Amino acid sequence: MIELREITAHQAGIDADDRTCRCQNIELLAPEPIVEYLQQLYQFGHDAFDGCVFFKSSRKHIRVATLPMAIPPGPDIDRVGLELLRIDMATPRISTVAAMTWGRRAGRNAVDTSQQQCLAYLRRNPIALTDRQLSGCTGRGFVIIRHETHPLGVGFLESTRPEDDHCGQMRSMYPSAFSAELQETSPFGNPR
Amino acid sequence: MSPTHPEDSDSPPPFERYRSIIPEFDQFLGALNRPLPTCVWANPNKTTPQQLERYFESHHIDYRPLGWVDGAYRLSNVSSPGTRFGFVAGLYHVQEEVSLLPVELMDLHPGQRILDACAAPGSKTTRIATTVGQEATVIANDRNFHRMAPLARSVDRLGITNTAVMVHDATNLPGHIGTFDRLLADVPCSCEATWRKNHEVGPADDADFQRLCTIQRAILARCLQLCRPGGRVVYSTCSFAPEENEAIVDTVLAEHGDHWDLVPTHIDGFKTSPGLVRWQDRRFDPRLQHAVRVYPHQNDTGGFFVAVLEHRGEPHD
Repeated sequence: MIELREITAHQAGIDADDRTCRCQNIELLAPEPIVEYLQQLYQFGHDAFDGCVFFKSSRKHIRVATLPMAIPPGPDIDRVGLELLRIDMATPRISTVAAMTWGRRAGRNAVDTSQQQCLAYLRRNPIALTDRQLSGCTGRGFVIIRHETHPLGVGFLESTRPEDDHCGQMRSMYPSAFSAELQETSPFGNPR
Repeated sequence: MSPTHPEDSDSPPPFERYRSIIPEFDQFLGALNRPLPTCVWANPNKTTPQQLERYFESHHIDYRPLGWVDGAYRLSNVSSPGTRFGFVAGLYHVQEEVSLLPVELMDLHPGQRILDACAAPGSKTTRIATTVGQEATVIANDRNFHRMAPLARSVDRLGITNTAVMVHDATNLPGHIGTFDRLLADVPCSCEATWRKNHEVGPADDADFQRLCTIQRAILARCLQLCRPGGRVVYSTCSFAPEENEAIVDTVLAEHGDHWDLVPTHIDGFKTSPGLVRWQDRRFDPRLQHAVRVYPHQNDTGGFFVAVLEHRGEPHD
């Protein structure tokens, strides 16, 4: 879990006042617990989020942006930056777009897939991971899926314990909206 | 917009009214019948041009770098570049070549505050946001919330963290959004210059012009009001019609022209024609020769109009 702590705009080091942030429904958050949580899980490196600010955009979500300085106040603003974490669950889950953006840096809990596994992932089919792929994972939970070093999103790894029936089984959490376009066409240009 | 050839939608629409202003008019008509090349650009948030070229080679995609803009390519053997792995992973974005032009002319620098006043569906916004770097602030505005969905999706896929999305009528942007160093007014237009891509469009009629031109003038005027001293407003359309191009800039310059210059524009390796200083019985501000017109046969692209207006004031630190 993450111990979220609200901070002021001044503490966040951004060029906006707290009234501005409130108008935008932005609740600025201390970066340390968030960065540390992601570091523990994925080892992105402590400098991965340098220059970023974190904020709650709703009860469910934390978003990340680079210096949202001078963003206008008021109800017209629809969204700022990228979704980073979903926090209304037992284990906060990194978003697909955050996995795509920072996943290349991940030193653990990241799986480099074969082309066949990648295609299965993008079509939301389950994947059986090899022992070698499992060796970089720390246990049951959310892992980042990559192919040819390029991160694509998140999967849920059922278990890394050999005694479990579901050891090495990974559920694709690739968004169905993204996946729909890839059901008929292979992103690798091969016949389906 | 008026579909002009309902009897044969594959025939070019009657652009005869432009015969006197479009050079090599027969070549222009010939180019309209050719399919539009596929153009993509490397996303600097996730890759480099060199890495993207290696990706193209390893995936047997034929590419040719564009001569006039870094990190952008024409692909020749890919029919659906928006479903290929490189696109899915956010390594590149698909965008019509000529629509890269207004962003190239914005003179973007880190630290700037930038407004894309009519952003949907968002290709130019993403180009701005990735070109200027993470130390800038980009506000992408459009009045149509639903048309912003593709923009949000592109922002996500390309890993863009410096952009906020705003939904408001661009003719009446509120003063509390502040001022900007760079503004793009890629205004709603007849889209007739996109005919190679979309055969449903054609020359606008008088009623279209009346409706569109009122909106175009209002958006450009509002953008000038929101520009900081020394800042730049880029006005663009995908229309050949002087009514939507030079006439709009001319009218707005007449109202605000004391503080504004039209910046001469030239791009090495990309052919353009100068803006018009007269059309039919109307004469325009002579500075409009500094605007650029792009016709499909000049670079094998769609058509475009761009005018770069720069405020004469000294920029603040």
